[in-house]
Amino acid sequence: MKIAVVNNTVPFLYGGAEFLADSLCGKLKEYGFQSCVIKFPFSWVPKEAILDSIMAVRLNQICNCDMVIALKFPAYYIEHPNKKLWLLHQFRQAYDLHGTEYGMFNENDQKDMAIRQAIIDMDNRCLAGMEGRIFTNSGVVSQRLYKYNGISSEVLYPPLMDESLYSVGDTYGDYIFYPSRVNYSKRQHMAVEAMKYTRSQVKLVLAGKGDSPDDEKLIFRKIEEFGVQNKVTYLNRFISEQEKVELFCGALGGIYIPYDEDSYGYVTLEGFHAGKAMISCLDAGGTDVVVKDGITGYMTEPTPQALAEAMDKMYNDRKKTIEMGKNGLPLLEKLGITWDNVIRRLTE
Amino acid sequence: MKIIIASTIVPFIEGGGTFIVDWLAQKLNEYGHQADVVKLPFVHDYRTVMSQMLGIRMYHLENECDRLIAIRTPSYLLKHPDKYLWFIHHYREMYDLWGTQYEQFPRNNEVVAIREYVKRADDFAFKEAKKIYTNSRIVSNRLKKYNNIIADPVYPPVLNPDQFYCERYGDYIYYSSRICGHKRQWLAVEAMKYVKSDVKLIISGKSETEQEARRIGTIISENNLQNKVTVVDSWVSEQEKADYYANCLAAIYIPYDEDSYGYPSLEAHHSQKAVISCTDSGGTDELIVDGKNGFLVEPDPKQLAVIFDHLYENKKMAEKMGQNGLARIQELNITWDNVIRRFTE
Repeated sequence: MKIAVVNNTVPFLYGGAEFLADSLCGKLKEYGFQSCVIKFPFSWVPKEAILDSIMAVRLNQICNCDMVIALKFPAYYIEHPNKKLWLLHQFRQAYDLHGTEYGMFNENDQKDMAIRQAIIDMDNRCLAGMEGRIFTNSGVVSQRLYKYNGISSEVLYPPLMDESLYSVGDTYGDYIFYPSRVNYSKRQHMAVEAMKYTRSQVKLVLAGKGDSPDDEKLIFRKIEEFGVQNKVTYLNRFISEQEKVELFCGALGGIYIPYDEDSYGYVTLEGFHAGKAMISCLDAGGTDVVVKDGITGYMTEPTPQALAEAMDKMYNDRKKTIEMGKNGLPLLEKLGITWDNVIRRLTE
Repeated sequence: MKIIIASTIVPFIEGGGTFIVDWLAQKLNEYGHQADVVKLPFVHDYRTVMSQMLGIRMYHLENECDRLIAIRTPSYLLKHPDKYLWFIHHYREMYDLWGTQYEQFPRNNEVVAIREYVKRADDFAFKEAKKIYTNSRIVSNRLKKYNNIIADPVYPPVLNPDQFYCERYGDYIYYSSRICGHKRQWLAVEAMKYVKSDVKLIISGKSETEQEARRIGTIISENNLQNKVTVVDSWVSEQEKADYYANCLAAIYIPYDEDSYGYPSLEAHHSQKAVISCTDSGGTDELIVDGKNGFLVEPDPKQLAVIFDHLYENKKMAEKMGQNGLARIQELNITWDNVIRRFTE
């Protein structure tokens, strides 16, 4: 069976969605399908270009494939008799971001409102006909789709791409590992501050480039400010997959505490594939899907003190920490966060 | 310079039309530009061609790059103030194939109107373009004939000419290409029935259909050519291919009526080997000067056999013609230096 994964492209940019499209395509091939990624240019400047982009995709024809799996607006407007949707997100500026500082449509501008309404109307029409074939990557996206468009969908969680790089071993060191891009909303600074309050010998290792030089400077400044130089290591550079795997496999546990994200993030999955318990915060967004307090890690209040307490617990009760770490993979299996499940659901 | 290369594709079909896009992007990046590729699906279907063309027109790339290079039809409809074309073919059923057996449109006014629409849309886009190049003289001639556009060819080079080398002038003729009907590997095999010398034939490439593979297998077995013909029916790595070229006596490339000289001809010349082609192969005659860097023969197995024998018995001549081949590539300036210069000036 030939499957085209259809997505958007903004030329010269490569981000999470592009990575997921390529990953899905690669996995489909592993599972014996023929697969390719088709990318439609998407532009929202000027705002009319959004409507043009919908029309353009709709007028495009695609042949020589038995199925298309669309990931984003407006790629899902492509016409095909066997179309599924694995929705990463809608055009959020027309929906949940509207009226916030991240919105782009002015309530007092008639043209803006007409464009926004046209997007919603067209989404309603296009997606209503697809019910039963719509998957999303998170509960939040499914909820929004229901709230704004009245359209039901099934959550199909994205698994880890390079799962084979990881293995669950018996090495548990003395540090908690936080690999991620470094920026304010990932809140590495809060993890650093927590180290001021820890009483055990637990250590923290941060790894990842800052989105900007200032993001990195902030972390170094906080380390100094809180006097935790002996307890915190910050690798402010790009680390290879291999290096990340090694650091995770040698860790005591992991931590991932972004502010209000849609999904659980790949970091939590990486931790579980390395057999490590994870710490996250109650306001992190989607992490509560996989980080179950006391079972696969600790969910804490978003305060340095609460984090410190969880970190100490991880260090002091090693037996429980190891046990929780080893609960991760079975939970992912149970939640269907495996490529076996994703490929089956998308292709059946 | 920030450059987007746009083209159209049929999913899962790779070939000359997709290589030229990817290779140009890769080379532009190597030459210090920033290049990205946009490949839009397009279906050659007269019933939807008008709306598809309108759709392509509606995308917005005008603010995304300094220059747009459009390649396969009708990607040149994309809007951009600095648009270059590397025009490789028309929607041929609407142009040069119109009225031939290769065009199966119903005969009615609607189709005539659609054809007119396609031509007018093309004319419109050609006028917008700052510069138009083609990939061959044949295509340039068609552009002149049908759209009254004068455009020079910029000949597409192979991706890595340096991978090819010459080891010796051995005892086999080499045919490297996808195995399919219109590439006519079968004709080369037929020729082997008539050779008098010990010359051999090696064919490598993945066969497109079972049927074509069987057809070739049958000619070989029915004529007891097993000792003379080797078919490597699989995907061949670039290194293996280069090795076959390096050790062959000469190469053969005899498709039916193609627009361009074909990458196999270039690969042979980079390996300092002469190329045998046919008088009805199409664009190979832009590269091959009969008797100088190869031969242009009637598509007749007996005449091909004569040439095979002739080369086998005159290896000095095969060598000289092979060297002429390499010189011919320089003469036509089939180099990335030339391509990049033309598209970035």
